[in-house]
Amino acid sequence: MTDETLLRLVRHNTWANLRMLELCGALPREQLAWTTPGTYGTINRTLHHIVAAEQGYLHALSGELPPIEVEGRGKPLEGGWSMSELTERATSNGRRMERLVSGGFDPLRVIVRDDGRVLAAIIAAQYVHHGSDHRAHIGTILGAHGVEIPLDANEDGLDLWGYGNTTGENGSA
Amino acid sequence: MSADDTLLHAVRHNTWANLELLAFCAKLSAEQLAWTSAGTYGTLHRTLHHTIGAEHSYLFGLTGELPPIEVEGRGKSMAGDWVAPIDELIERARSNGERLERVLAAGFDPARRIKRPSGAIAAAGIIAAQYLHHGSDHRAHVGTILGANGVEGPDLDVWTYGRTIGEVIPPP
Repeated sequence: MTDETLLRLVRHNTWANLRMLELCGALPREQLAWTTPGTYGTINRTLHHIVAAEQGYLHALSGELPPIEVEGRGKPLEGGWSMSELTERATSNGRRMERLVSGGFDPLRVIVRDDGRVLAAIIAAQYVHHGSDHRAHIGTILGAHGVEIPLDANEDGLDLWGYGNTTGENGSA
Repeated sequence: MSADDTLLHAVRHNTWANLELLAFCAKLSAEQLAWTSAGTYGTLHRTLHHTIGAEHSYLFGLTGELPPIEVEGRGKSMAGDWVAPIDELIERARSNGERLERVLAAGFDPARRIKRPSGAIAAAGIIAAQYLHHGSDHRAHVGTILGANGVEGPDLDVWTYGRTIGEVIPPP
């Protein structure tokens, strides 16, 4: 059985990553180097970290590397990816995660990682938490520099209301 | 077993993280609770209040019920400019987590269309997902404010939650 709410969380995460990458793709290089105290690092570094961490979670859950690396079109090292490569990787991450949680996912499977043993459900929950956490850092950095995230008819930012507007699951009374 | 167990862990992680952060912030001075940082939601205290108050509104959307502390007349609506004391926020956060778990365990229909206080309509699954996203988003603001003021906040990710409940086991 697929949990529809979990699926929404995964799809929202992918949508929000791609919206953020689209926005950041329009920024000049010097703005991608912006940061602010208390966040993860520069905007560019944070984007890389979000996407690379998801690949790490997916590797733990599936044992598979991202297609761009399997096909020899991308290097595995975190950092130095272009915005278009980040977008390709984020899109692929979302599709792979959807397939995982939609198809016979066993949340109680114990997975052995370098840093110990962990339940599959914990990795999947971390996957959706992690994006929200670090996108907040990027929103903070942009806000601290006076840049508002330009959005469509959406009241609260890259949250589930905006996502629901996009999918048609939200609407007017 | 189903993917439902992942959602349950996500809900419990959110509750745990709120409570860990509130316990941490309970030790801060009033002056520190008034800290903020550019680009975040507001002061530490305002952000904590908003995080918990928003969960009340999501639960109201899902159930039509007010939080027990308000039903029992021991607390007022969280709307407005005031901020609840941290110990009250702890009670409310704990209650929110228990209530959301009950909602998801009792024949939850994620496709049900719900009218929000703003008048907008949202699927129940969107509201439940927003509940989880919202906490991660605003706890990140609190972490940023603490870090910007030279204070290291608690680790609040799902790994730390997993270690707390024994579902992440470090190597010997």
